[in-house]
Amino acid sequence: MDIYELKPFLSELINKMEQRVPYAAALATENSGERITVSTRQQRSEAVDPSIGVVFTVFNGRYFKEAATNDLSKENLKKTAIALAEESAVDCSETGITINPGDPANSDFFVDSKIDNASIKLSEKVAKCIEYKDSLHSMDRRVVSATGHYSWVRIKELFTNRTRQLFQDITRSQSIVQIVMAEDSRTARLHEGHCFQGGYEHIDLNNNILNEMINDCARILKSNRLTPGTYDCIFSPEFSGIFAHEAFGHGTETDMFLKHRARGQEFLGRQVASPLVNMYDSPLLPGQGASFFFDHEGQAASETQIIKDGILISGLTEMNSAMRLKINRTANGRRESFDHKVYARMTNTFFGPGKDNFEDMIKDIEFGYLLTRPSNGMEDPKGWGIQLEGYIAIEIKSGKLTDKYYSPVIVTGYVPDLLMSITMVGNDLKISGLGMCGKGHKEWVKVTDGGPYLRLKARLG
Amino acid sequence: MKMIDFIRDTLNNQSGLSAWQIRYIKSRSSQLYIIDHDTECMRTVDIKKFVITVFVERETGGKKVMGESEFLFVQGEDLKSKLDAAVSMAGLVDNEPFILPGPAQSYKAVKTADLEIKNNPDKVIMRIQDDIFKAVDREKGISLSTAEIYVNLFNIEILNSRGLEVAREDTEIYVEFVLMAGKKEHEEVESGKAQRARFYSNLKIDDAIKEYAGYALDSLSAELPPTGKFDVVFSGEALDTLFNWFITQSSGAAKYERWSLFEEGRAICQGMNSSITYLFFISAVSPLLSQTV
Repeated sequence: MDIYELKPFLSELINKMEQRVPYAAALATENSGERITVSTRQQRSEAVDPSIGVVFTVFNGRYFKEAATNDLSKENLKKTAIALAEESAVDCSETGITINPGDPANSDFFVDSKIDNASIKLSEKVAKCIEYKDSLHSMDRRVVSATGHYSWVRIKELFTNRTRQLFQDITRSQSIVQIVMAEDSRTARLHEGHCFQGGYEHIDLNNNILNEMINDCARILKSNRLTPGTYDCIFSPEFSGIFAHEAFGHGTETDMFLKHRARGQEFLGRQVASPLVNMYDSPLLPGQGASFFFDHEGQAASETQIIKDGILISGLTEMNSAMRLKINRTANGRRESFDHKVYARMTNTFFGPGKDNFEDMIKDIEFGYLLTRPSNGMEDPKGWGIQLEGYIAIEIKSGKLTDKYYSPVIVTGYVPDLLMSITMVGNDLKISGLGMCGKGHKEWVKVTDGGPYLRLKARLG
Repeated sequence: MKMIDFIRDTLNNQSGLSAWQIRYIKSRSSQLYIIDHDTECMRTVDIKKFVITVFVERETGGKKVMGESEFLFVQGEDLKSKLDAAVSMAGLVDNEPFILPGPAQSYKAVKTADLEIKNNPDKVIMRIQDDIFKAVDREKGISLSTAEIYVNLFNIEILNSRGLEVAREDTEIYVEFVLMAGKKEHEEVESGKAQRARFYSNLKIDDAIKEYAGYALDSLSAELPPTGKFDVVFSGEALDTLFNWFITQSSGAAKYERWSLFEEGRAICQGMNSSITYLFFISAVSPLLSQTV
């Protein structure tokens, strides 16, 4: 079964459902792919989270009802769709809230792979992962565990409502290496890699990347904790990315506005950051892992500027919160898969580049740190507290990087304080593609984040 | 012919296989999403899937190795082509051989399903919603921001090539709630919890709401502690988080992959004044619970 074949049938069902309810839509999704993991003592190759199914959505004037199934027989789809419409019709009421199904559109979208993953023998992919694993072991005797990982996923999505039928077929591929080093009762771990739209052309990782990872991991093994305090800091592009994601990514997902769980709602149109700061969410970034053509509610992909010259100007919306808060829809209605609910979710979230080069940013720092290799972060959209964790802080003294490394490093603070303290913004922009993002305790979707180097003041621990 | 029998026959007739396992999972999830006291969304999710694992044993360099590969099969797909691909995948993997459990495996009978969830999930959902509303109403200065209630029923059958054929039925309730304390927007603080229970009688949502309402109210007057070293008491979720490192270090994967720092018979923490004991308690009816230390 290919979900593309469901096009006419789903249109027919939507028409039938809308005889009973004011709005109906269907999203069919189909994921397939491979995952190969070769570590020091274990190899595994498997199909990657394969799933196929359809979710029907109706709006009864007051709230949404959905029914999801992975039985794609026409008989079952018809039964599921009609039963949902009929039971929803009982609760239908005139509330004055209506859903705009959007301008008519009927398009198919595809992402091309230079080298189709399916055309490459599995043995070749496994061999490449073994090569990574062996190579990492040979680079340093302290490597006790090394892993080479390659995976790709092909995602097909078909959205249907009364005015739109949109299909997208997107493949993304990721290559990751990971090491654990041990010495003198200490261990350290690091990973590296990338994830892009496209195919097998993305399996190769630059040797310099592997060398840098080995060197940094060895430095972590020998490093101490830094003295807690507030310092002049430079965030690497990777660290800026996690900062963007946590600071005003989650805090501007507008379903959080609807639940009164995000302070950002009160600050729309107000200054929240240094005038040097611009921040975006864009599913349109070419080739990036979280890019797409339309979201899971049929909204066409577009870039959203969240912060403009330090002013918070827009949230990231899904249909329900945009409709109830009477704000513009952005392309951020996303589901983990057909069997999960839609929430407002980030895509590729990043700080825009500025005008400064790295040397100028560092040259007058008397004492501070360059923070790099972020590991994870937490945010509190209600209180605007933030915590960012990273593996490495490199000491800066008299305008130069020293060879003193500290690990781990934790940034804590109040989001606007951190954003207002930004005094320089690098002129480069780098997107890190390995991220996945949960909402609360679940709902994992692919995201990326990034930015340029940022200079700011931060409390480190 | 039932689909599971068709799969079993296909696996038995597949060449190149040393062993196989089928997990047939049927699940029905009824879900309610609430914002304030209003319904945001009601959902049902029906999933039927076969998770098939194939094992291929062979010799390489004079040593026996075993490869495995797993795939998901749903009705309507081409089983043979998926199976061929999986066998090919498993043939490329070199792990140490092991034996699947046979039919003689004995299993203790435990109650794993809440009959009311099985028979009337919507009634259970509405009762939990009612419990939440009443519990929140009892807490002064507290309001409900959002809640998500899932009531799930799983039927799982496991078959393998050694003749194992077992089935079980599971129920699960998942509840997530967020409470607000404070009157004005900029003075509000939130506190929330996600919890799971197999039976409704184990959920005790009113106790959880009382506890987290207390945290929310306390947060209104809380300040950041000064940075420094202090004696602290860990309990509940914080204790679980503290234990994550120990659990990771003592995992079979850590030992097998040779990066665990733990050695049998050696202290796991240096310089402690009193001993620390932790154990895994696996039960059909209880989640992992940590006691205060």
